[in-house]
Amino acid sequence: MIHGKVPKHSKYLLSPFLLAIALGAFAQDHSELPDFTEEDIFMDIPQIISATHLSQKLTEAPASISIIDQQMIEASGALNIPDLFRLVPGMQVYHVSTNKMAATYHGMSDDFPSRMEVMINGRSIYIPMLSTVIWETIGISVVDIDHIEVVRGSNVPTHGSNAFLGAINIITKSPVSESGTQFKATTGALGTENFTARHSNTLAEISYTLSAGSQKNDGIEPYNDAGRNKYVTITGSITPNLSDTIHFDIGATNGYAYRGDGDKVDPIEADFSPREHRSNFQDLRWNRVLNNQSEFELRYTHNYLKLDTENYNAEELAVLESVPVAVAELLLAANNGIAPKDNERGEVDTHDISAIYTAYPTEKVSTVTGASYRYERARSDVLLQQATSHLEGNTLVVEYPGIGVYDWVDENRWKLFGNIEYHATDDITLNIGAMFEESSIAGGDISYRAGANYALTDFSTIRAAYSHAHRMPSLLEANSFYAVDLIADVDIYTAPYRSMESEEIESFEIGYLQLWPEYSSHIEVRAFHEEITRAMVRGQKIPATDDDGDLDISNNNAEWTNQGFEAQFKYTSPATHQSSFLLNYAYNYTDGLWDRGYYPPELHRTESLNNRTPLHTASILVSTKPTANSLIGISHYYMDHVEWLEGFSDKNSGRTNYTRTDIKLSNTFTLDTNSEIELSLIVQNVFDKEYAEFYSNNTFDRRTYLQLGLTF
Amino acid sequence: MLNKSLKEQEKRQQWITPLFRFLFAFILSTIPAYADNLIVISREADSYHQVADSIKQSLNTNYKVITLKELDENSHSIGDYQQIIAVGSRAADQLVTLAPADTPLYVSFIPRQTYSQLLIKYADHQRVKTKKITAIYLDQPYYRQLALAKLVTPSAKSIATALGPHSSNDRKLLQKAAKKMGLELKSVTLAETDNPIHKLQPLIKSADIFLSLPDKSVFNRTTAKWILYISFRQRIPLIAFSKKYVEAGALAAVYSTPEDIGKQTAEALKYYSVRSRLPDPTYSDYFDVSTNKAAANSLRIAIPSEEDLVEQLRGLE
Repeated sequence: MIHGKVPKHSKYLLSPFLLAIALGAFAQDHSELPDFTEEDIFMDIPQIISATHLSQKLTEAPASISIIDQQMIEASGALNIPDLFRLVPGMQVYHVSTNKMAATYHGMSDDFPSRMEVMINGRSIYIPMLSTVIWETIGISVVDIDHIEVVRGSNVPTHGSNAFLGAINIITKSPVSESGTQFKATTGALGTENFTARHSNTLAEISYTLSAGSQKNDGIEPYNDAGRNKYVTITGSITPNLSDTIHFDIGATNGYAYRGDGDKVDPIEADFSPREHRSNFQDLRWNRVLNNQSEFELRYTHNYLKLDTENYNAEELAVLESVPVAVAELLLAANNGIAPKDNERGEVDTHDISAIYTAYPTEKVSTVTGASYRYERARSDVLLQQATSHLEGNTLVVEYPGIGVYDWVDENRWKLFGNIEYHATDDITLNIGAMFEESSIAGGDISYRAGANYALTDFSTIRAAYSHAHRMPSLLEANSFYAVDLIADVDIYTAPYRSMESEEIESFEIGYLQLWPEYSSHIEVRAFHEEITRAMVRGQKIPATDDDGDLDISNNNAEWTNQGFEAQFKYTSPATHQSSFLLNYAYNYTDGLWDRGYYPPELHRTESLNNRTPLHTASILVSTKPTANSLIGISHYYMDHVEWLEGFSDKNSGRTNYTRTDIKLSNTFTLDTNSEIELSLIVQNVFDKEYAEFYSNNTFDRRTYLQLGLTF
Repeated sequence: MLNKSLKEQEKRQQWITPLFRFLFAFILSTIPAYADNLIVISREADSYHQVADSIKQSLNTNYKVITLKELDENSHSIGDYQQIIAVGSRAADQLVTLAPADTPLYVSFIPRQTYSQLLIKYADHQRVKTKKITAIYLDQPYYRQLALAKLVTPSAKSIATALGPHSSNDRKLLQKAAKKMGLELKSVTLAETDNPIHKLQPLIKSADIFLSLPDKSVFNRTTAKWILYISFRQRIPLIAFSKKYVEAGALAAVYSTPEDIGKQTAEALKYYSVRSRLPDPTYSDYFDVSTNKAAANSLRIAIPSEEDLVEQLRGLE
């Protein structure tokens, strides 16, 4: 802000009397004070970035927020959405199999990372049946994304239980911002054949985008863990007047992804089989500007997902169990035909209705208050068979109506939440937020956060924040029961244990953010201490009436602390043909214990969790535009050795630390003012330094792709 | 007619003024020193206090600052003050009639159109008839805003704007100012019942630069998100009217801060003390410029520094 004074002369001296005559329209009402005042000129104009449901500046938010912008998305050459999170400090991304991906924050995960909320335009895509996000079923692809906001650190007070360690909000491109049609085709490694199409238009009252895609590949040798996904979505905005905006987002997907045990070298032992998916979702959001100081939003969303896997037939089961076919047939009959090749199957339905009221009562205060109700239900003949259990002495007694008996299990969840932002002085911004959650299966919890930001300059700030939050058990964690009738006896693999408590996290962080807006550049540092207690980590054994020692219970059986720091530096040159440099680094020291229960039954086992999080994670993205039409993007990723909570756990396993370098070369050919062709070459792991992700034989070698885009 | 009444007034002042001065001096000697001037702010808010503080800092006279609410509640006597300053529209509306008709009233920190409406509302009041009232406008002259638009986008040939319930009254003034600057003005009037995307998308696309004008808060709030969004996507530079608008994503804005308005008000008070008559209503000669460097970077345009823009604007005036 720069100040000036003009020399005194009369250029602007207008006679108020003449003006009054000119403004005859005002003469209609002489008794009322005009409703246009100085406060209209000094009003707040909402910003775009949101971490607390409030529109906030990054420098005033009570959390670290990483933005993955369009330039980063283009330069990274990422072919799937989770790969983009490699560009976020402290996040880890891995292929569980070629077509099943996972993304976690601060490690400590199996193939179902459960402690981050993920949203598309604010709609949660977290699947309570599996306590995770199933990325291949979400109904959008990289080309649909405008930008992604990642809140690093617990964000439960804003987004609820699932945002235990953080929250991701994927913002898709708005139909208002583009019009026309785009096609993109990608072919290359692993028999990849991806096609996407987008068409956007604005009609009389409605702006919409129709997006569809088909993705397939053959997987890696020797597993041939292929995958295919098709999706179609329609998103849009209806703006009947200045105050009302209605957004809608409707879509459906179907396809399959092969699942198996990538720790087994022998593909027959690895036993990959397809897991089919079918999903649909509807999201309707009405936003109304009530007056100059308040807004209201009402939202309804519905998500449906069905996962299906094959059952072994009698011949296959006979081979697997080394029994005669006749016995296998008896086994199938005893289990209602349920003999899944993969356990990940079932149906899940969630309905969510929420209301949010945002107010700006004074120049210094902004508030948001809201309430939501969610009904979710799931059923699975494998994961959610009907059973109850109780302890007799130290032994778990499981009671069930019969093997393969299952029905819907459901949950009602209420949320009340609020955040107040108070500008105590020009330099100090305080944020206090709280969330009360009440669940029909887990009782009630209050989570809260307090943050203080001190502005060193207009563009730099230091921040301290404390949060105390909870994660409630999901439908799966509260109800999991899977048993197999072996005729001679019943083998129980998982059973409900007791009413579990919520996981708890206490976190404290100090952050520093320096922006250089003229270069779209910044440096951001976050030091954190997180203490997680009563964590639910699968894999606790308990002596049970089924005493073959492989009964897992869900329990509050782990605790750990994370301490470390994360940093991001981004520099963008202001030159016409832009170049940019992005560096992410995270150091996270984890110290914790995992109660594995009794295995063998006479031995109580506790494991260290210290190696379940990579100590160092880093990434670099360099991009440059040598000409107006060309792009070179080079990304380099490093992840330290980690033992995930699932799969092969051995320091001698193939999963050592790894580095990977990707490159994207792209050139655009302009056909006319409205049309262009873009040709890209993407090489992942360009130096062919083969490494294993998640499972020890789930290898990632050099993969080359060719991409052709057409816009008109 | 106007000139005649002015002459008559001047004649009257030849003998009335010295008499009043004598009486004032007598009265002043009998009341506490702080009671020289009274500043009435519309309500308890930082921006109003900043105007009052700025006035006090610029002059050595004693001031009493009260809110309009305090004035109402405490039946505060305002007959003892030499001059009264109303900060904000609501204070102005009350004080036109509450203050003694012969005590000069300075209406500060008020939009120009709102002041004009006040004059119409109180056209029959003695104060307005005797011109014992003047104003220091908060908003910016169109010439200044358009000059800023030209400075950040010298090649611009056309400028677009969306007019609301208040700014639509100024269409002709704006058109005239644009013509003077060599800019073709493209405008639409937006009513509450209009579809904002339908009206704004083709409008913003049709021009080289977009100017956002202040209007009622609801209008500003409902249109700002679309104006910011569409102009950003279409790479059209957006000139706005406040620092907050620039922080939200507009390219640049010229505006007067509460401190600027306070300084200008102090100058009006000084003018009276020297010339014994109120200056004409005026925009503030003090102004600030804010630019959004990130927006400039996104638009791939190089804009002059804020210092240079202020200097250049001053040069043009």
